[in-house]
Amino acid sequence: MEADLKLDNILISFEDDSVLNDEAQQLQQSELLFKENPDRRIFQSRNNFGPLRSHVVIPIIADIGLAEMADIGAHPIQPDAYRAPEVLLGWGWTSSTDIWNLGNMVSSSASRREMTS
Amino acid sequence: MRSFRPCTASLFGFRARGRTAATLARLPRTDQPFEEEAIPDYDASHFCQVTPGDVVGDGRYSIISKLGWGRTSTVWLAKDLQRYASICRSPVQSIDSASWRWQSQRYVAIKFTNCDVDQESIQRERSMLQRLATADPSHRGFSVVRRIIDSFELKTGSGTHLCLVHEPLRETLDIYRKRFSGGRLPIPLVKAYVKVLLVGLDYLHTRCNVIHTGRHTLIAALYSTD
Repeated sequence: MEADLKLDNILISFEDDSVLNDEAQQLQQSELLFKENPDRRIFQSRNNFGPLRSHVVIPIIADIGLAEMADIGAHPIQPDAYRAPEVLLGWGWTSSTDIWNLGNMVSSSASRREMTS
Repeated sequence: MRSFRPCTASLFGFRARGRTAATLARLPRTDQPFEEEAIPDYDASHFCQVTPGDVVGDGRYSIISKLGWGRTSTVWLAKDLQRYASICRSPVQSIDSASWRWQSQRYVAIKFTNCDVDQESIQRERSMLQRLATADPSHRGFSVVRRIIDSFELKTGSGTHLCLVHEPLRETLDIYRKRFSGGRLPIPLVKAYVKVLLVGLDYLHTRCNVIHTGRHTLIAALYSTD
């Protein structure tokens, strides 16, 4: 059961080995920026790999560290805007709640608006 | 476990530099919150200090650059020195690398989690991820769920950081959809992705008996069926 299937928890795979190979090569000629604090250096993130070279990508379910063992549960688990009816009513959630959330996510990705309740 | 000298990195202590190390450049002084400093209740001592060029995981991974940050971790791109070495030694792909054929064979994403997370949660998360990685590799949904390649602990003066090694992934679906005209995924693509994700969910539900929620795994203890 995936009770929090947001667009943030699904990532796409790399379309090609060349993307990271090129990134590594590019880094040899560029600078990695950081902010110097008295006790540490905080580096700037680099995670925009540019336009996709092909669309042969797979969506991957990530953030599994938030997973639970399956059972019937009653406590609220989803972000408010995504709650399935049974969760709102306190009836308890099961794996079918995941499918509701997948539906939310599908609808969000196919439209420009964020899903609202 | 066998060990061998990686063919590009020269090792001298913890901070080793491989040939792919970039130049580091200091940003102009600022008081603005930068990267993970923007988190409410940010405490620098909880985060693991990582620097490009570092070699971690018992000499296996060479840090390349920072991919991102979260409330309880930072994520870094690294080179898997073992896999790289095995590839450059022999033109024939080993059986090991064949299983990763649809993704980069040299690079990994390492999540350095904060040291203020309690040990019990760390171990529970670790065993959960182990379970996901081994429950049923023959299931079609196995490769749809992000799995852990390796994990190790890094001890600093502030505590123990659990480090999780994953296949590198490009970007979230949220960012990906914005690349399309109109800012949304074409319906045929959505249909295809839904099919793939349902198979992944099936793997989680039927083979791993796992629920993925928005809460921390601390709650899992109350509902464990093991």
